[in-house]
Amino acid sequence: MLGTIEIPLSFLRLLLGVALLAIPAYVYYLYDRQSLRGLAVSVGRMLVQMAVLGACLWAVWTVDSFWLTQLWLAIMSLVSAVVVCRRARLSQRLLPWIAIGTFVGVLILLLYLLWVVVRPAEPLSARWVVPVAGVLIGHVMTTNIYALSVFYRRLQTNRDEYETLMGNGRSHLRALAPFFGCALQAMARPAVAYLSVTGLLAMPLLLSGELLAGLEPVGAVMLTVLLIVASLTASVLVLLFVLFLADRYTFDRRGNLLNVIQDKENQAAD
Amino acid sequence: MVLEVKDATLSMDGRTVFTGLSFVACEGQLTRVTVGSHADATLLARVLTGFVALDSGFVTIDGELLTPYSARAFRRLMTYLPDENASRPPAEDFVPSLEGLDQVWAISPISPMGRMSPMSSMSRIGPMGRMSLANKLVIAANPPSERLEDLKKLAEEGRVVVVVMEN
Repeated sequence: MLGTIEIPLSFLRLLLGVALLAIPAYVYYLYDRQSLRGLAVSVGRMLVQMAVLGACLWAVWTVDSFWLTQLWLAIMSLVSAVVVCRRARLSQRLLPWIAIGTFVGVLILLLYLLWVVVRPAEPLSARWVVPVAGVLIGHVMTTNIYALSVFYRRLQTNRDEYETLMGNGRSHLRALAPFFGCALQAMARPAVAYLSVTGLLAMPLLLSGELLAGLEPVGAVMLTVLLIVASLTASVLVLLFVLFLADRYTFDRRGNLLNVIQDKENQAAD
Repeated sequence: MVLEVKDATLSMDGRTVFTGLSFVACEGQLTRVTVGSHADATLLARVLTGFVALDSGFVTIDGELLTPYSARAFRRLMTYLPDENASRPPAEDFVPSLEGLDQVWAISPISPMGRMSPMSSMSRIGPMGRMSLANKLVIAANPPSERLEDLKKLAEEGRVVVVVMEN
């Protein structure tokens, strides 16, 4: 079970900590003034976002209701879908299906992980659901950007390939298999790169967080392994759900690919 | 098997691709249809495979109308040889190509990943052998002229062969 530690941090001491920014700011001021403005905006944005996030988390933590936690999960799924659509430059038409796919896939993994594997005293409490869902959604969002971008772009540029397979009697699903393979490949690359250095060259942020939260090292490592495995599973599961749900809005009834890429050329054409 | 196109008209991006096109392709014959350009020929091949809808007119196969729904079933009876310039799936996904007429890549059970694997030597029936059993209709878009003889042979074996080319 997760232990907790109180951090006796007053706002004054928080400000003292934030004052550390003066060092990089001064160095940037001396050598790269152009980047300083961007950096300041980013830090400002981060502080506002963290304040909003803190307030929301405080509310979810305090109320600790199942439905409020689900609402939080839904909002995180929606936000991740917005980011995926924007970064992968996909049509907004796909947004609801990416959000629903993320929500359902993460919820299934979450329930399995908390109810079947970890089995804490209160598996559906906010203190378990929110951080675990956050880890899963964060990973799924990153992998979905790669996977969906590769899937739809490859499908668009190699439409002939898809039509040739369909024209030779492959079912829609089987004609999509090579493209799905490419999406999986794109998704696997960053995961493999991350896993190959985890533990040896880099300590996962997740593990650091668990140690900070007061978990003893062995328990923290076990939980980290579980969360990494769940993240990898969630990314594949969510990709399957998203592609299944979005299929109807990606192809017309004849099997032609609709315009789901938001590139400049396409926008101009629209 | 008979493929019939009747009074077919198609416009694309405000341009008339063909109008009033009618022909009947029967078994044992190579039917060559010529249209305005290379791209138009590809478009007509996409009409015959059910990917593109006609503005007016119809396509039937054995009297059955080619619709978005029936097209899925008809495609199982088809061999579609796309334009030589078209991007093609990897070899293991089995795409019949004119260059590959000598090689036997035929439909074999699909692996769990949906990949097609080449036929084992045990199941080889001969060049295009499996195709002769399964696919009675061959649609070729812009085949190179030196391959027309190969297509004629396919027609002589009792298939309906439709070749769509530019003028």
